[in-house]
Amino acid sequence: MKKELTLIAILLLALLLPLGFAEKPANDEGTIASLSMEFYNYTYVVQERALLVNKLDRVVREYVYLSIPRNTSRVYCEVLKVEPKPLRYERDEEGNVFALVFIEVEPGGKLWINLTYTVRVSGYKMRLNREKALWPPLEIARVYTDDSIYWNINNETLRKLAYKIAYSDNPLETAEKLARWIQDHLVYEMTRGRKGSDHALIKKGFDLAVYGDCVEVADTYVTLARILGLPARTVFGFLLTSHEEKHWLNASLREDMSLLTHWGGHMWVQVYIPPWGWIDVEMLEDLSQPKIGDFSNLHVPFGVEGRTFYGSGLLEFVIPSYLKLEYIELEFRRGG
Amino acid sequence: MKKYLLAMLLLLICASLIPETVTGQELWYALNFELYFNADGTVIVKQKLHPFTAEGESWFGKPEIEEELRAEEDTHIMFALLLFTSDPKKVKYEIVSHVYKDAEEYVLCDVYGTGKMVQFKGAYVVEVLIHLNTTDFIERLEDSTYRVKIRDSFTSRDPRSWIDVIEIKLDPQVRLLAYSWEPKTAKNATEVSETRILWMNYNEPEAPNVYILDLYIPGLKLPEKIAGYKVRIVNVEVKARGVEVVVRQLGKPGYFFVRLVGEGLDVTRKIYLEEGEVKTVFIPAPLEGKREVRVEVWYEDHLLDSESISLVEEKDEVSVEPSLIASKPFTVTFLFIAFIALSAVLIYAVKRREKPPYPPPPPEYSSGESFED
Repeated sequence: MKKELTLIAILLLALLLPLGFAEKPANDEGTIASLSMEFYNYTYVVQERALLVNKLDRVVREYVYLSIPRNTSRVYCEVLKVEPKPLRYERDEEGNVFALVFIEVEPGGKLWINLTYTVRVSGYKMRLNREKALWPPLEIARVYTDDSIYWNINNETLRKLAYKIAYSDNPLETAEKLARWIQDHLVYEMTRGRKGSDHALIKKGFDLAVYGDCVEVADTYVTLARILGLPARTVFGFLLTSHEEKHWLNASLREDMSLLTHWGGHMWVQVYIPPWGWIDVEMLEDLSQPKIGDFSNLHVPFGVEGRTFYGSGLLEFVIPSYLKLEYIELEFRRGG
Repeated sequence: MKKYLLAMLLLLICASLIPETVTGQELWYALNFELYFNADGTVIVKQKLHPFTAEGESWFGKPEIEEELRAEEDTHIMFALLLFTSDPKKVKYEIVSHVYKDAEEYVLCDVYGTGKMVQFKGAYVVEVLIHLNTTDFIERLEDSTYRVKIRDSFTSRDPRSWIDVIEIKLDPQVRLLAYSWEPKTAKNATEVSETRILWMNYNEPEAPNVYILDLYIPGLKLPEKIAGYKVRIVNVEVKARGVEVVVRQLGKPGYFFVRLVGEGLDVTRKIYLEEGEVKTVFIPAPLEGKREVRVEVWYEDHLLDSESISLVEEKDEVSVEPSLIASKPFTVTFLFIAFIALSAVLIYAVKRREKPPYPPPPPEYSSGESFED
């Protein structure tokens, strides 16, 4: 009998001891967060050209604003050349960067603006462990869950929708559910003018749908996320299909969907989830599955919108006043 | 100066990030603002607008312009509120006068970029009275002395727009203590006296983005507590992976922040509460090693309720660490069954080994000793 009891005790110990080690809590969240990420850096050389035309019967002297990729932990831009020479570089209220150029053009005259810069984009893939996801600190929540002209968090339809489709105790789950719902309910259409989330949501049969392009997708996501207390903002820039290509736009052509074949101006979303911080949410790169924390280096971010009521005025890349922007092209090539 | 396109024409701001392309008549507005600071903590904002074409031709008095301006009055009021806030919905204001035409007013603007102001006769005017104690950009320096920041709401929206002329006037009881502006690369005020400051801005880079005034305003009182919003913490319970908070809404409906805060911990959930609603909110948080945390409920910048929880005490009754059964019920069940099965097999094996492979010898061969050894 003694022998039997000893055997049972040994067996019990052998089974339970490894469990004790397995249950030891991981206490270094920062390390976990940083180790579960892979980077895919790519450096582009961008040659940007814009043609401005004076269609007035008088000399035009004015300031032109040139949007330049903003440096962040995942984007590094270095300006190599700007012609005409900029007076200075400034930031808008969102912190986005622009060059200020003064030009003078005779009646009927034309002027090319040339910019060359390198942009290193850190694409990344995070292995997001849902159990580690936390809601934000108060200050971040205050700023990035507030409403704006495009993100009306007091819209009752949107509020009820957000609670119905994505309310969760886990912020990462909320982020995923929102992205999936928008992808599943998207009626993609190139739209003119930014409507904001109030007008991006339409009735479709007995259901609701998001009607519009990347801007409406991003605005709707940000509003729904903010309603649920998930800090969110939009990012504007380019989405390329390959690492070396030219994007162009001729303002005199009235194009609809064909525009997408040669112009990749794009907007997407970032959500703030500790311990990882800002995570990119891309719903249009792969229509079969949203990408959260899976950010390809085919994105070239220029700036963000999230703190101000009207967002950023730099979304148009080259911003003249009296002069007309007739043509713009950005050529992306492999950098050093 | 603000760029403006008639609504019946094509208006593109940033559709899919396409640079703006315009057909048809393009208009600009000369923007002159007058701000009058009252002693009671209110400010009257008078906007004077004059439309003109890119060639500099005045469009004042054209019926379609008047119609358009009246239809867009809300937008113009919004620009007045945005001088003092980031969130116009929270600002208390009164419309002093709806959009009207004043043929005797003058509006200035450097139309041709030559450093000379063109004087346009006639203005469309809209006036709004704003209660400064409901705005964001105000800070109390000491008793009845405040720093008021006035942001150029046009530059803020569109980098190529700016307020051409801004004239700030003070009630005799209001005193100007100091003034400055941002960015420093912009130009100083054109005229300054005890009761008036005037900025004439010839272009956007020279126009300040923010005008900063230190003012003595005897009647201004900043609210101590926001009225009408009341939420109470009903119950707090420490759970396996966070804290569960029950809150009750006792005032106006709205969004509230439920925050868990402690040493190295700040986790906030935003929730919407209907009138009288009781809601349970779970806040996931790593509580290992924490001795005490506090639960707070906020409405914007106002703390509505708070409660401290000692985790040391709680640990005696409710383990902060999840129990093995709670966290891995299937694993534990499987291991338990495996243990029973293995034990049974082992006991059976031991028993079998103890049994002699053949029957015991007849009693006459027995020595009376145990067979055990």
